[in-house]
This record gives sequence, structure tokens and C-alpha cells, in this order.
Amino acid sequence: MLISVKNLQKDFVNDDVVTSVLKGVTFDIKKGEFVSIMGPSGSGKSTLMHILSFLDKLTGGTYNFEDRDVSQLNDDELAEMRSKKVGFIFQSFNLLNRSSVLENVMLPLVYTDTSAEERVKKAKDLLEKVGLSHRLQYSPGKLSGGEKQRVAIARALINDPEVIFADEPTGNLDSKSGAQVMKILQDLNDQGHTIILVTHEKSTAEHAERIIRIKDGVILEDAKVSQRQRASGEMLNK
Amino acid sequence: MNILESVKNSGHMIIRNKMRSFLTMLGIIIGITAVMIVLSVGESVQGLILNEVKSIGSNLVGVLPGHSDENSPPSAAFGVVITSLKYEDGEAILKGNNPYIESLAMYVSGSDIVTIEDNKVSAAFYGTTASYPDVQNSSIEEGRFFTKEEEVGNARVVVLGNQIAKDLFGDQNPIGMKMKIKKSSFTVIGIFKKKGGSLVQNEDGNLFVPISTAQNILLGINHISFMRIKIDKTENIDGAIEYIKDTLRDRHDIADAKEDDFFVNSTAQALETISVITDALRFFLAAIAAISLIVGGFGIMNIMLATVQERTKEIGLRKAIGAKNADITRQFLVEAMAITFISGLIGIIIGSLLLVLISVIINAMNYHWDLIISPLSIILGCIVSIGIGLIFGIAPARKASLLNPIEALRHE
Repeated sequence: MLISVKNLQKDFVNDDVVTSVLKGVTFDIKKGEFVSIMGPSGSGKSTLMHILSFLDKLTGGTYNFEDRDVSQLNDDELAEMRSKKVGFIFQSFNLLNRSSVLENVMLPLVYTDTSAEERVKKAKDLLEKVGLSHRLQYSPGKLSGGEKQRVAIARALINDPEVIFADEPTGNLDSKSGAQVMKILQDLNDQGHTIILVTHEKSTAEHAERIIRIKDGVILEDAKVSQRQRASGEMLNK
Repeated sequence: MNILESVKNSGHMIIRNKMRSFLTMLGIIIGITAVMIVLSVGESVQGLILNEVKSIGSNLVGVLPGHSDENSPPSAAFGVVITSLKYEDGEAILKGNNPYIESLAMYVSGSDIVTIEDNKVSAAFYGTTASYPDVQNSSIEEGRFFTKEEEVGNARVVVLGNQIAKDLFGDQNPIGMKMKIKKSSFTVIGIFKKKGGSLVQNEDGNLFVPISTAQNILLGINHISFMRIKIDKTENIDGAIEYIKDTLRDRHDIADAKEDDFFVNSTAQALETISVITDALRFFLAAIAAISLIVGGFGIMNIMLATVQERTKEIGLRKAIGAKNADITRQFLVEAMAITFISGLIGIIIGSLLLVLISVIINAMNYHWDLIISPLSIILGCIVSIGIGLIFGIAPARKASLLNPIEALRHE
């Protein structure tokens, strides 16, 4: 099993006030799945994603990634996991404007021991895949929203991650660009990439094969998406 | 995380906020400039002093009128006219036949209008004794120096310094020519060889006349300004000084050394005072350097904290894509060091330019000054500037590395 979460809890302590954000969630995600985590703001979906993507630590329950107990990892090991196992796509793109498109895509490899030539080669290949090979030396500031998100997708893929986390990837995009991005994610899933999408929008969530609906820190529903729904989700985004 | 990228980042930062960066870097630039000058000028001053010693000899003893104690130079050094020293005092010292004393020269000085045909210029002159070339290690290029008879006989002869001979007579040979000093007519009998500048005396630019002529005809005085006495060996200087003091006290009826109306010191001692002055100057500059570097360091710390604040989101992203805390620390440390290093380089360049300027000015004043840009100062400038970046960059870099990636990513 790629991801196995049992009775996962997360409490935030602020001035002696304990807030339980996740109150015991349990699920497994297999390699190659496309899962949406859906819920309104404040539901705990972002916190869940942060824990799954090694950005945050859990306070209770267990989280095994590739059968490894994540709660036992220290900060550097978590950074190592982020470096090697996951790729991120953010709502606000998070590209560095003073670096070129190519440099942005190569950035994660800076923290690995990949040679300079290989970094450039991989980044160019990926930018070609997302249709941006004509923008290599551009500053991200000069790109459209859709182009920015495609750069971010290339960046998320550069370290051959086990899982791609997409946090509201269409939130800042117009519907056409959004549909393009979702299409790329589905293509990636078809090629075998595991994708975990976090969103509050049903239409976006329905691009996945499976939706975990979460509210107030508990799972309301964990269900497969029917082919019909998936298709209609795509329709909505067109 | 490679160093090149961090250096590039700091370059971007400097370019993006030119004014802010410049002001921040200023402290380091001034500090390193001062470091450069402190370290390099020292060697040049040593060269200057050695050159002085070489040109006038280290075995000279000077006698000035007026009292002086251990802590301060005689008032004559400040231009106060004291008439206690007479031509006869010098004669008396010579008459004692002290074995250490090789020769003795006496001096009066003044300046007045010099007229050649119809050209009038102002020039400085010395009235001195026939022993002058021997005492001062000077040699005549053309003609001759005046004799003992001329020294005491109010002879109207003049010997020219090398430079002033050119200034006054151009390409003509001045030997045998007439010139007026004040209202009196003099015959040029000799020209000195070029000697180069000296702190003690600028021979090349002066006129030399017999001391009696200067006292009686040009100045109307009967005292002398000072004397210089050549001692046979450096080891005998102390003995000779004792003899000179005894002779003068005897002649001036002085019982107690506290009552001395003259002051005797060796060239070596006089040159030591130059070192004392330049050492004080260097200490002052070193203090400026230290203060500038510390203030500059806090400036760097401030700008790095601002940068960390501005780039919080970037730090969050870097952590999300796999940067360890140590990677972030290193990135910001290298950036701080790159800024201080660039400042240091600018300081080294400005310092070097200033040293060139100092050398040009001092050489133009006809003093001997070697342009020395000490390699040590360049190396030290680089090390110190990088070190400042390291010391003052640690706190901001650590702050950056400890940011929570989730909060950092949310930062707007």
C-alpha cells in the first residue's frame, strides 16, 4: 500500500486552547489512484494534505507511506521525503518570478544530487510535455495563469514523485485553463502517477476516480466516482 | 543548493533595491577601505622613514634652541623664534675636538624676493656653513660650494638647489650669473645634485648662502636657527650628545638640565616621532574601520532580515520541494556573505584608488612615497568582509530556516 492512514488525528494548540482539526480519519490510497479530498474550508482537508505530504506532523493515529511509519521521521527525513516522494501543485502557483521558467522547473533538483546537465535535460523534457518548450527563458511573471500552472506541474514532476499533491490547482484559473490543467492531471494519472487533489469544488473533485469527503475533521464519505460523473465533471470544466 | 545560485540571488537583491543595498553596503565599503589604507600606508611610511634615514644619514644630531622636556618637542619646532643659540656655540663645540664629532653645520633660514634680470620670484634660502655638504651628504653637480672664508666673510655667493636652478634659469648654465636676493646682488657659484624630497629639508628647492651673509645682510640677526652635527658612528651618538650638552651648558652658564635653553636629539629620534604620528593616525583609521564594519554588519543583518521577510513564501516553497533547514540556512548565509564580499571588493578598489591618489599627491609634493598596496590588506579585506557576512548573516539565516513551511507558503 502506498498510503495507509489509520485513525489520524491532528490537534493545534494555541495558548492552551486545543483545537482538533482531524478527529481520526482512516483510509488507504493505492499506487496509481487519482483521489480527491473534498470539503468546505475549515473541514481539515488542507491539514490532511499537509500531513500526507510530509509538511506537517500528526498528533495521533498512524500514517504509513510505502509501509514506513512517517511519525518516526525527523525534520531532515521529512524534507528528504518531500524531495524524493512528492510533487506539489499549488493554487497560487508559487513560482519564483526572478528565475526563468526553466530554472523554476529545475528548482527541486537543487536539493538532490542531480548533475546540472541532467537537471536541464529533465526540465526541458517536462516543459515540452506540458507544451511550454517555447517559454524556457521567460520570467513566470510574463505567463498566463494556465501557463504558470503548467510550469508548476512540470516542476512537480521533475523528481519523479510517487504522489502529486494538487491543492486547489484550478482555483486561480479561468475555466478553460482549469480544464487544461485537469486534463493534464488525468493524463498523468493514466500514465500511472498517483494524484491527490484537494478542493472544495465538487466539479473539480469529480475528475478523480474516488472522492474522500471530509467535514469537521471526519470523513463523511469515501466513494468511487462513476464514469458518468467523471464525464460530467469534465463537461463542467469545458 | 549551490553557491553560484546564492551569489546570483544576492546580485538580484542588490540590483532590485539599488539605493537600499548601497546604503547597507556603505558601512562595509568604508570599513574595508579603511582596513586597506591602514595596512598599506604603514609600509609606505616605513619606506618614507628609511628613505629619510638614507638621505640624511642616521648619525646626525640636531641642536635646536629652547627648552624641551621628554614629552614635547622644543618650541622652536612650532616656529617660535628663540635667539639663545649662537654661531659661537657651534664653534665652541668644534673646538673641543671631540673624537666622535666629524663635522658640524649651522643654519639660519628665511625667504625673500629673488630677482634675476627683471623676473621676481619668492624663494626660501638657508644661510649655512661651509661644512653643509659634508653634514648633509650632499654633492655639487656643477661649480663649487662656498669656503670657510666666504662663510665668515659675508660673501655674496649663492649655491642653488637642483630644482630651483632649473626654475630660475631654465636651460642656461647659472654658474657665474648674478641674482638679487632682497636688495643684494649675489653670484651663483654652484648647483647641487638632485636629491629628492625629504621631510627634514627640501634641498632641491632652496638657495644656500654663507651664514654670515644671511645673518648680517639678509636677516639682520645674530642667532642661528639650528645646527646639525655629524657623528662618526651610530654607537657614539649618545656620547656625543652628552658632550654637546655639557659644552652648551658650560657656555650658557646652566647648572641644571631643567634650565636648558637648547634641545639636542638624533635624527633617529626625530624620525621616531614621525612613526608615533603615523601610528596614531593608523590607530584612528583602524578604529574607524572597526566601527564601520560593526555598524555595516548590523546593516547587513537588517537587510537580510528584511529579505527573509520578503521571501517568506519562497522559503516555504523551497522547504515544500525538499530543502532541509540546513539548505535554507546555507542559502541565506551565502547571500549575506556575497553581499559583504561584494562590498569588500568595492572597498578594496576604493582603498587602492585612494592609496594611488595619496601616492600621487605626496610624490607631487616631492617626497619619497612608495605606492604599496599590500597583498595582505587585500587578503584580509576579503576575509574580513566575508567574515562579517557570516557573523551577521547567521541570525537572519537561522530565522529563515526555522520558518514553518505551511505558514510560509500562506504568507502574502
